[in-house]
Amino acid sequence: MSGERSKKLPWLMLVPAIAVLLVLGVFPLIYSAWLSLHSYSLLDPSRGINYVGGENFLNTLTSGHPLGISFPKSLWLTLIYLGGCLAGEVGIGLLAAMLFSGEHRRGLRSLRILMMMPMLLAPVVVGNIWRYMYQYSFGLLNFLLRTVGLPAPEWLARPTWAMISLIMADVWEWIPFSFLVLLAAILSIPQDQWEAANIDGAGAWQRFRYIMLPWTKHAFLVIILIRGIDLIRVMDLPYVITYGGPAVSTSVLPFNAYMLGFRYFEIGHAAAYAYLMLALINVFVILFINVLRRRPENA
Amino acid sequence: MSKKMLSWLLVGTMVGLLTSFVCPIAVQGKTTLTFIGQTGPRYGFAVKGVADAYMKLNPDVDVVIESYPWEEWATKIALDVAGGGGAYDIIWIDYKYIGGYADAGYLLPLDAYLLQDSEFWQDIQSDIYDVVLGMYKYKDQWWAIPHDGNSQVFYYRQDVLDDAGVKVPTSWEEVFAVAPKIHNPPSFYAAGANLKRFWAADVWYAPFMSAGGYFWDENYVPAIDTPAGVEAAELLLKLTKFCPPDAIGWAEADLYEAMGTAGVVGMAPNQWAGNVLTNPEAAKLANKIGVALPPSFRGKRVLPMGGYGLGINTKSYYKDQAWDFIKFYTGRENQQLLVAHTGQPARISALTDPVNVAKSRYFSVLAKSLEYAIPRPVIAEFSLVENIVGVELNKMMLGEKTPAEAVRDANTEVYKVMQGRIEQSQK
Repeated sequence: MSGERSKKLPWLMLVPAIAVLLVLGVFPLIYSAWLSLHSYSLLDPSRGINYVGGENFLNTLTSGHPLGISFPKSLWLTLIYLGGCLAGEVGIGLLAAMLFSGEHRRGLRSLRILMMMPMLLAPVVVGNIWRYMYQYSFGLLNFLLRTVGLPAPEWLARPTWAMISLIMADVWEWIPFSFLVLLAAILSIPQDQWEAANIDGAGAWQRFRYIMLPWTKHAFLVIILIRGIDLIRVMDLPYVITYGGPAVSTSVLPFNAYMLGFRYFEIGHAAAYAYLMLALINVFVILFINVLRRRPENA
Repeated sequence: MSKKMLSWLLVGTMVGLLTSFVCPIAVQGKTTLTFIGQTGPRYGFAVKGVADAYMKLNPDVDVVIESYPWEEWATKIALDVAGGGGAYDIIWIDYKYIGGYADAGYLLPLDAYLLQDSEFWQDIQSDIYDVVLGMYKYKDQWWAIPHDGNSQVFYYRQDVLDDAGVKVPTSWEEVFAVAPKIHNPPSFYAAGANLKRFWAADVWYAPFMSAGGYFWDENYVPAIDTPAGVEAAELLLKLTKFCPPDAIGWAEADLYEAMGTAGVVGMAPNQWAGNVLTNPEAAKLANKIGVALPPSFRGKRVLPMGGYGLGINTKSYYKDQAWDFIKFYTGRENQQLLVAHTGQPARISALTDPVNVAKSRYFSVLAKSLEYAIPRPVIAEFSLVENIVGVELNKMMLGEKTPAEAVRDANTEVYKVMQGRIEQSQK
């Protein structure tokens, strides 16, 4: 009797957690899948929820209506944003990690806390700080550029500059993350590897290519995976800094899903849009998990 | 303490907590009225000021104010509608949502209360422009009482115009005649406007409607790509030549910063009225800012109407108390209080009251603007329409489309939005 009870107890203990998971995770997924097959306007609920089959998905893939930008074009913008941010974050994060893991690292220790600061700020705060700095006439960036005699770009007024502006703000905010992960990875490289390289007379490039890169390869992949997922569903910075503009030049996928859902209140269409995004994120995740599973030969 | 007692104690606590969520009656016998509104000087500050005064007079009532920025506010209400209502007692509502929410049974028709308080109702009718009041009437019933009236005004830097020796322009033709005289980029720009996405449509409305345009015909067939639409788009494009280049990314707050604080803009010809630019506590250059009627176009002046009303949720437990609060808020005797807390009244008497005008000197101009204002369409789809028009106008400003192409494409997209209504009206 008591044996049976002890077998049931762990399951009973799991019930609250499973219930929470079902209510907060599984139910919204199923409900939004159901909504994606319906037409439902929260601005005119009296029209009701009407079954439309795959129409929302078809509209999303074939027409930019009512967003003014098609799904493929928005996907392309999202990929540019993703690529730009990852390149900046990983590149600068690696340089910073190398600097902080070098011979003078003891002296730089106190600066590590400062390096962490941007990541600790709420994204909306980061967005607003950068939005003000990008102001053409009285923003800090153009003030500095004009002071040194350089031309002042129209940061948020031209499509290319607007995308660059978003990438710069995101890179600034998230460098600390890649820096931390890469610093940990670099510091975990066994000392004898460096000593052996010194004895063999390896140069800086060779040490980077044959020691640092193989030992930190997994850290890179983790950064790309985690930040990649974040960037595909980023909403806060485009919303605060550019509001998807000028026109639709920074209307990345999550921004469009937000507009459909919470500006136009076309809930069914927004759900279909979000499901297509989810499919893309899954492809990205599966791709990277497969890469992660392949252990590097020399790590 | 035995295990059994502990269990009962836990169950009791949980039941207590659940009851407090479900039962709206607050402890200590107080009535709690939940008010959903917007943040900002014209909105949240005003509500708080009036609600505090109301609670002093009615110590048995607690007015809980939930204020959000525009988009969150709209989202919260939409979600409450979707969830069956009941989260809020008093709803601060944009007139364009009245039809949708009335049809959904979310808003309570106020006719019974208006009949009961006929003196108050007569006073409201005599003190608010018919066109403003009429925005809250739908299917022959009244759904909200306007407490905030709004239209567009022309803000300008008096000192800049004086230095240039020019008078305040009264038409768009004059605006473009004056502009080159004060335009001195990159340090100073003759004009400014909030042109970010749907905000661009806000600037386009007035010249569009002044030139004789309207969004659709009586059957909802879009009429944006008419000569009036093209002319208004061309005018907007011309205006951008005198604006800071990043005005295409501006919302209202950015214009305020550029004009009232940074002083890089001379004129904002048609801007939604608000007390930021003329309020010395909010704008560094407030004392140099003048206010006039927006310019006419083709000899005519038609302005878009804004503003908000107060309605009652059908699911409210305290409908009578909510109505009492609305009466207090919109009552003639409390309008000075509203203005003292940076509110913007809908009543003509309040907009022209010398005490209020001394506090917010744009009121008298706003009162005149309201005479020229017509409501934007009171249908749920209008949010989409203004976004579509705004995006297409932005594409024109970027040089991706000509004015004619922009309004043509906007018309095509708006047609898709309105298709349901077109088919319905043709039946």
